[in-house]
Amino acid sequence: MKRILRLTISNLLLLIVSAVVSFPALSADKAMDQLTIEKVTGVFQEQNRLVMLWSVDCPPCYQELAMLERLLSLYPDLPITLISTDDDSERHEEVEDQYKRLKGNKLTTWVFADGMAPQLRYAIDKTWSGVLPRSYVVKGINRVGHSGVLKEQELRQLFHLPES
Amino acid sequence: MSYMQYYFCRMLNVIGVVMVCFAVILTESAASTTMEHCEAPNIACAKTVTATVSPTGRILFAWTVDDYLYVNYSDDRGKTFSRPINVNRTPEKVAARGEKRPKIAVDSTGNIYVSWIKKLPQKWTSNIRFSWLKAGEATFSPPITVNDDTEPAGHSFNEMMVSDHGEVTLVWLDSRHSRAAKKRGEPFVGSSIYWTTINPSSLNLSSLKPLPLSESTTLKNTPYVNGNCVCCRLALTQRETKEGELAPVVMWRHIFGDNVRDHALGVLGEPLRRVSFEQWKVEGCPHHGPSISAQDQRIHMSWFNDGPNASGLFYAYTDNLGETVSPAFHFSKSTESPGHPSLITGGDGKLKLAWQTFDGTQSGISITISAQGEQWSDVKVVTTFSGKTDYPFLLAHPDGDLLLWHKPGHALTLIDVSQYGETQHGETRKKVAQ
Repeated sequence: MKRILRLTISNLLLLIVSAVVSFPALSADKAMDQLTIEKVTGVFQEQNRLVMLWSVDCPPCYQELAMLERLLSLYPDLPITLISTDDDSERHEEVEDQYKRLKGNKLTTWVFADGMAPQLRYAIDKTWSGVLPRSYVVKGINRVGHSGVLKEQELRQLFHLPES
Repeated sequence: MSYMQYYFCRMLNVIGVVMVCFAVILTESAASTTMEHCEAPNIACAKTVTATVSPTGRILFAWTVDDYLYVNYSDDRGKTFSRPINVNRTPEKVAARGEKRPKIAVDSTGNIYVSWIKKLPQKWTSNIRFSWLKAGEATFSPPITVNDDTEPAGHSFNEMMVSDHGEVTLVWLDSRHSRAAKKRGEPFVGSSIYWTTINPSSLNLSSLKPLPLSESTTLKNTPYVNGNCVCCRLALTQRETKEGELAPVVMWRHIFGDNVRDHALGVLGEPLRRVSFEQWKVEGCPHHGPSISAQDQRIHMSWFNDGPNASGLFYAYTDNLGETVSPAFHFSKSTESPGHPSLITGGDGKLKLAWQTFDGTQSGISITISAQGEQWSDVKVVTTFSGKTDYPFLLAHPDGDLLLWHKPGHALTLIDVSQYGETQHGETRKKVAQ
C-alpha cells in the first residue's frame, strides 16, 4: 500500500512539474495561431474566404479593423481570416488585444511567426510589396489580391449582404 | 499490490518523465526563437542600427536595447568598436523598427547629435527627442522634446542633419493638424511635415531639463506641407544654393489627388515639386520611403513604387530642385521583391545605390554605381543572408565606402563596397532614359 502511495505521489509530482514547465510554451502557442510557411496553403484553401493582412504599425489598417468589428457584430458568420504581419513576439500582445475585440463564428486569426515576414510575404504572394492593408479572396486556384483599405460597401458586395 | 497496479503506476511514471522531457524541449525551443540571452548594452541585440561617418572617418552608431539609446563608434572601419555610451539615463520607449529608428549626426568638430522617437502611452502618439554629446565630454545632454505642441499627437519618421557650423536641422511627420481636424469633424488627408533648427552650442542644452508636454520648449517648430503619406520615412540632404549657402532638401511620399502615392521634393520652407509619376493609387501604408543624395547642384533620388504600369525601385535626378526631372530609371523590378534603397555620393565622389531583394529563402543586397546618375553599372550582389535583417545603409567613408546591413542577434559587420566603383564592375552601362 505504501508503495502504491509513493508511486502515485511521485507520478503526481511529475505531472505537476511537467505542466508547470511546459505552460509558457504551450500557452504561447494557444494564445494566437502563428503563421508559418507550412500553414500558408491551408489558410488560403477555402473558396470565397476573405483573408485580410494588417499590422499594428499601419494606421489605415485600424480603419479597416473598425469597419470589420461593426460588420461582424451584425453578421458573425462571415468567413474572414485576419493575419497580422507583426513578426516580432514583442508585439503579439498588442495584436491579440485587437483580436479580442472581434467576435465571429467563422473568424480565424493569425500572426506571422517571429522573424518570418519576408518568407511569409513571398509565400503568400510573390508580387506583394508588403503594402498594408492587403486582402485576398480565394477564387478557384487563384488568390485575388487588393491593396489598401476595404470599404464596408465592398465587403457587403463580396458577401452578398444587404446595403447598409 | 497486484502486478496490474504496479505496472499501471510504473507506466504513469514513464509518461511523467516523457512529459517533463517534452516540456523542457518545448520551453527551450520557444526561448531559442527570441534573443533572451542578449544583455544590454550589446549592439547585436538591437533591432535596428543607424550610422554616420565623421569627416575623419570615425563611424558612429545609434541603436536601442531595452528602452535605452546607445551610441558607440569604430575608428578602424568596423574591425573594433568602442564601449557604448548611454544617451537617455531614464528609460523611455524608443521607436526602433523598420523605417522608424534613431538618427545620428556628427559635425566637423566631433560633436555628436542624436534624435529619436519616444512612444507615448496612447496609440499613434509620440514625441521627437534630441540630445547631443559635446566633443571631449563623456555624457550626453539631458534629452529634450523637440515638438512644441501641447496636445499628444504623432511625431515620427524624424530625419536629422548637421551643417558644417553645427546647426542641426530636424524634420519629421507630424499629426497635430490631422488630429485637430478630426476633432473638428473635418476631413484631412495624410499627415504634415514639420521642421526646426537647433544650435546646441548657443542653447547650452546641458542646462536644459527634459520638458513635459504641457510646457513649451525653446524650439520653435515650423510647418512645411500637409498631405503626405503617414507611414514612410523622409529623406533629407543639403544642397548648395547659388548664394553659397547650404539649404536642407527633403523628399517624401506625398498624396496627390485621390490617394496617388508619388514623391515630392522641396527645400524646407519653399514650394514642393512632384518628382515621381508612377501613379500608385492606394489607401494604405507602403512602409517604403525614399533616399536622396546631393552631388553639387544635382539631387539624386531613389524610391519604391507599385504603380499600375511599373512596380519596383526607381531612380531619377534633378538639377533644379524638381522643376525638371530626368526620366525615371526602373532599376529593380517587383519580381525581385526589392525595397529600401540607400543612395549616397561616396567618399570617391561616385554615386552608389544599394537595395534589398528577397528570392523566397534569402535576402540579398545589390549595388550599382554611377558617375553622375546618367549611366549605371551592372548590378552586383554584395551579400546574402537567410535570417532576419535590418534595412541596408551605405556609408560614405573617406577610406572607401561601406555597407551597413545589421542582422539582429549577430555581431555587427560592415562590408567594404569601395571596389564596386572600379571599372571591371561597370563595363556594361545602362542609361537612365531606358
